[in-house]
Amino acid sequence: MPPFFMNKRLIVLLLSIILLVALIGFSLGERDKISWPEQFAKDIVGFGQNIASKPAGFTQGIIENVQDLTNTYSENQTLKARLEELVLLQTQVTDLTRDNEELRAVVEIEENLRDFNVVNATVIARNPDQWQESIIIDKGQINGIEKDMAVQTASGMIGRIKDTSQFTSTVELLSARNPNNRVSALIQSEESNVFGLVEGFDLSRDELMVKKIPFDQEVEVGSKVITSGLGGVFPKDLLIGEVTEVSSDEYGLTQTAYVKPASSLYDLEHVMVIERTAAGQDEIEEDSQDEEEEE
Amino acid sequence: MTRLILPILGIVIFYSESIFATFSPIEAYGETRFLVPRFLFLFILLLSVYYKPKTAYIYGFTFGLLYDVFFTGIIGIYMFLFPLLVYIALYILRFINQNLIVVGLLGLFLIALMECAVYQFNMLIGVAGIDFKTFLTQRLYSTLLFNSLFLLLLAYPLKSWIGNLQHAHLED
Repeated sequence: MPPFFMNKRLIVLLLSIILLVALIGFSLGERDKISWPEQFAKDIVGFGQNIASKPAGFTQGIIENVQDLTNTYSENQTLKARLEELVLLQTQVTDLTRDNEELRAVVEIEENLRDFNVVNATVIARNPDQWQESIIIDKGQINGIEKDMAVQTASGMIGRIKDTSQFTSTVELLSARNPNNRVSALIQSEESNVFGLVEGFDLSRDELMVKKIPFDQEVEVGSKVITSGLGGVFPKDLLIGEVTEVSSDEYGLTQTAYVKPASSLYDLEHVMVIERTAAGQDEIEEDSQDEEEEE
Repeated sequence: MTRLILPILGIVIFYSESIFATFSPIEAYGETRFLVPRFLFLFILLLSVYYKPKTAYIYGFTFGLLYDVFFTGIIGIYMFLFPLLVYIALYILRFINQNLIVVGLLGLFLIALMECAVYQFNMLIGVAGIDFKTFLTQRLYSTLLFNSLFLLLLAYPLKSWIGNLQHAHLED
């Protein structure tokens, strides 16, 4: 009965397309948390991935060690030169820190936007299809990781936590094209600080774009870009990168700065998840709501 | 024991993809080029031709779902694409002979098809922002080359292995 089979095939196809659209719609929607079956699947896969990534990481480590050995001598020379500067810098830093603490005590400010806790994590996988710029790390909710925490390497910020399961979390890199992926940034120049938003990634230049800089502010090429801590999510002072070019936007109302990320966004192995200790706006609102309820 | 070999092989290949993805992207001929491993799909394709189509559909569905949940976070794309491409492959193979080279070339063609479909989908939801020409130079050519390397090295061993398993299965 060929028509019957044709019908059956057609029904299967239609049903699967409906299921597909429903599932995609479900997973694309704004969600605070991923559902428990997804978390469960992620944990199971992540467990195996954790084991599978160990030997790969080990071999990579050996290759890197050998590469490091070859230029040890020249590195040593430059490092020795830097060491003398470092001693000077260290005394300055201790002095300034103490000064800062004393002044804070005088004006009675306890919270600091700069304070944060660190969770160290290892990258266990990168999305193989490489469209969503995301990596997966081996720490999850049980390690206290929550959505939207900042993630950085030793050299600079690389992204934020997109979702978490019990034992793994997904990190969305700064290079991901997501209109909601905005970081409130601060460009340090000699006279004053300029505020802007890190919005988008220029694929052809491999550089981040800091937009919404007022047109009358002067931004110098080579100035450092750090997080401002004003978004209420990330702490202040995480290094993002360095300005390479400034151009005005199409209407001439604001400027856009191209920023070279301080940390490579591709070759990642060990990362740090940053938990901000100063309360953000959301938490302050929640607290005040709780208090009202108690009253 | 022989029943366990295929799932374990599938899992190993599934994990190897994300490890090979850490090599990418590379700089070659003045362009950033992405190497997207599609080993799992090639494995499923070989299963469908040299083992049983039904097993291939089940593997395609399951591993596609895991891929979606664990890596992309958008459920449905690979879960739907893997079985669909296996179906297309089996449909085409009804008309031409099932030589390993032919199957390999068909696999590359289907990978190109899959890359285009995923690219179009990502354009639709706004994840991808490159035009088609950049997509071709940055992704498609290098990906096809990368996967044909995998085929050259492992297609024959995998084929004979899967064939042996099927014989063992038939004798049971």
